[in-house]
Amino acid sequence: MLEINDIQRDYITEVLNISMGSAASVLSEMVNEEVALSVPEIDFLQRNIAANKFDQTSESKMSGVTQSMSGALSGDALLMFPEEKTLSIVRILLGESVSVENLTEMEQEAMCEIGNIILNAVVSSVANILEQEIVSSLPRFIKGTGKEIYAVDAGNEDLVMFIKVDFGLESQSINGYVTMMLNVDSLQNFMTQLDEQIHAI
Amino acid sequence: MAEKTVLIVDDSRVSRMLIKSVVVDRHPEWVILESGSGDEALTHVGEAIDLMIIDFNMPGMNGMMLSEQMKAHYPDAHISMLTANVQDSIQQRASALGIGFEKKPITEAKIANIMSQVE
Amino acid sequence: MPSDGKRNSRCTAMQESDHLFEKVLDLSENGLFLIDSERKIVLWNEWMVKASSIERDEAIGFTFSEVFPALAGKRVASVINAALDSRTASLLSRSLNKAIFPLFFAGGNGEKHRIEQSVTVKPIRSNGDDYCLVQITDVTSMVQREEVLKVLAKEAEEALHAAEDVSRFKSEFTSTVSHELRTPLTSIRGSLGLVSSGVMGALQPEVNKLIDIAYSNTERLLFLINDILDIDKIESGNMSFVMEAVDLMPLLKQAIEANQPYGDQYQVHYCLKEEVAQGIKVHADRDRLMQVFNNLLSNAAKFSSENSDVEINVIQKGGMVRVEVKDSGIGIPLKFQSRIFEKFSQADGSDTRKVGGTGLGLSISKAIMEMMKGAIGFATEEGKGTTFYIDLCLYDAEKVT
Repeated sequence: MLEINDIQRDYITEVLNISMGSAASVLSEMVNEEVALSVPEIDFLQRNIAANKFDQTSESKMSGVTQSMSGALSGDALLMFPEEKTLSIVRILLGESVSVENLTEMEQEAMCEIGNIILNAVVSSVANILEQEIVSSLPRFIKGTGKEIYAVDAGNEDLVMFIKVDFGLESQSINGYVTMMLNVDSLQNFMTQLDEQIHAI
Repeated sequence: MAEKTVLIVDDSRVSRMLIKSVVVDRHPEWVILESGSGDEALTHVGEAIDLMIIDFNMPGMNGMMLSEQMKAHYPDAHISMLTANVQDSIQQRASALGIGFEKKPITEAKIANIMSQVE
Repeated sequence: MPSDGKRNSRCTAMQESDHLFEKVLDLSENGLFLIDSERKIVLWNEWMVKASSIERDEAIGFTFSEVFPALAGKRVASVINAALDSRTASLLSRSLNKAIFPLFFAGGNGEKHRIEQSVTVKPIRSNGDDYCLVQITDVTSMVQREEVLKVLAKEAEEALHAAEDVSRFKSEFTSTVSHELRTPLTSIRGSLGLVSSGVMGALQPEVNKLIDIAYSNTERLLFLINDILDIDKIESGNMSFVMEAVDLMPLLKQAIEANQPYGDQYQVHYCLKEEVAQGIKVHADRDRLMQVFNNLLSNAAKFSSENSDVEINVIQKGGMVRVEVKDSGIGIPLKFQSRIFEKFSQADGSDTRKVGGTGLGLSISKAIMEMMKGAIGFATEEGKGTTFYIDLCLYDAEKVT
């Protein structure tokens, strides 16, 4: 089982702080408002347990965008909002006031782009700091409860690094979060890299 | 060159190590004080401090609040915010307060730039 | 030489496969072009040629910014750089990026229309070299479809608002008119009552008869107006209830007594057959419950045959008390049974005059019973009579406090 020591955790937290900081800056420019960020939550969990953990924190319907990563780090990155907030964030950005209850196909595509911009900012910032290459896929729109979103992981006991950062836009009272589930096989390499950087200080 | 005292405030140990390594490299004679939080940093008030490098996002008091208080105690010291929170609004608040602003990730050039303010 | 021949044939095979590959790309319904790490375009499919009017030899070998000088510094240029430098894939949606590339299709009358686009940019690595594949999907028809959808959604919303306005107006109109009618009608009834009682002097019998007709019709109008006001209150949710412990038997007996004169008009006698223990309390609004009793008792009298009894039974069942009112009338026709609690419904429209009533009573009673968490229902047999019943909650002091 993979363990991380305090200094490694400190470093990962800092890398994510910086990466989320740059993503928040992108989002802040898009919505023209300051974005508040939480301290990253980092855990090593089995994939199915991570999925359950996710579901406990959000029983209501969520929607958002997912991208997969491969290369120096592999796994999935997600940007999620409560479903009704997704509607408002997209419409703030598109400047529309039509009250169709669900996102239309074009709006889903716009949401994918928003997620793509934010997740790319996070992922490429992680890659830059670690001086590693992470390949990202195209974004995909997802919605449902946490359980539904992670249903595919129900029987998957692979160990993952589960990372979660909450963010909020105060004036719109929109809260969302970014999560990453990183596969452990790629993490070994990642931790080695981490240790090398720490020792180089 | 005169001996200076630097206060480094960051909740990340790795970040403090990184900053410290650059400072030591350039000025081994400088005194370095370290704090992991705003409250801890305030315990150093009264000591001679010439330069402060302060993180923004920290548990408890954030770096902006700490900087405001430190500014009152040390009107002549140079304070620089070094943060992962690179949003324009934070930069504007820093400049309104009359303190420096550098974006993380920490690099030697950025620390050198902050140090040049008191060299 | 044989070896040369072999090499030649391999080259030919590769050329053929390249040729086939190009044909496939040219048949694609999407715009496709490939950029190498030097930012030079190395592939440009037929869709791109048609939509951009840039020939293959004007694109291949040139850099992206040479082909699209207007796009330098735009987001599309930076995501192409990101794909080549840090291998990130990007999506540019039509909604957030209006007409990314200058691409057009020819309309029927020779006009050119700008193509609405959705663009994806993906990194590709082949033999150690990095490329970036740009794919363009024409979403013009989707955009048009959604614009129609949005217009329809807006219209539906406006129609809904208009309907709400009409309904509010109707309700305000009903309540205002009813109030305005009630006041003068009450005074007309009062005056007619005085005249008919003879306090203003004795009347000729013919005159007295006319006055009585005027009086009873005024009274009917007032009942109707009161019922309409009740319905309006129910529908607007403004009917207030004071729920309390109501001593059932005294209230029921009071209702029977009060209705007996009305029953006498139809030569019908009310007869309380089964009773529950004295002192049994139900959870209800006293005045509203009285209103329901009055409605059921007067209905029973109206629809009973002359010289008959209307039986009243009170039965306790668990936490509920049922009050039954049983008439010996003609029963309710099957086809009418499902509409009995609807507004203005009486089995036979022509019957109204004979039996009187507004046709609102049962509908009001049902609403009242529902508001008091009780129930109302009936059992009927044509030709034999009808039993209406209401179920009331027993007052449970513990539960309420």
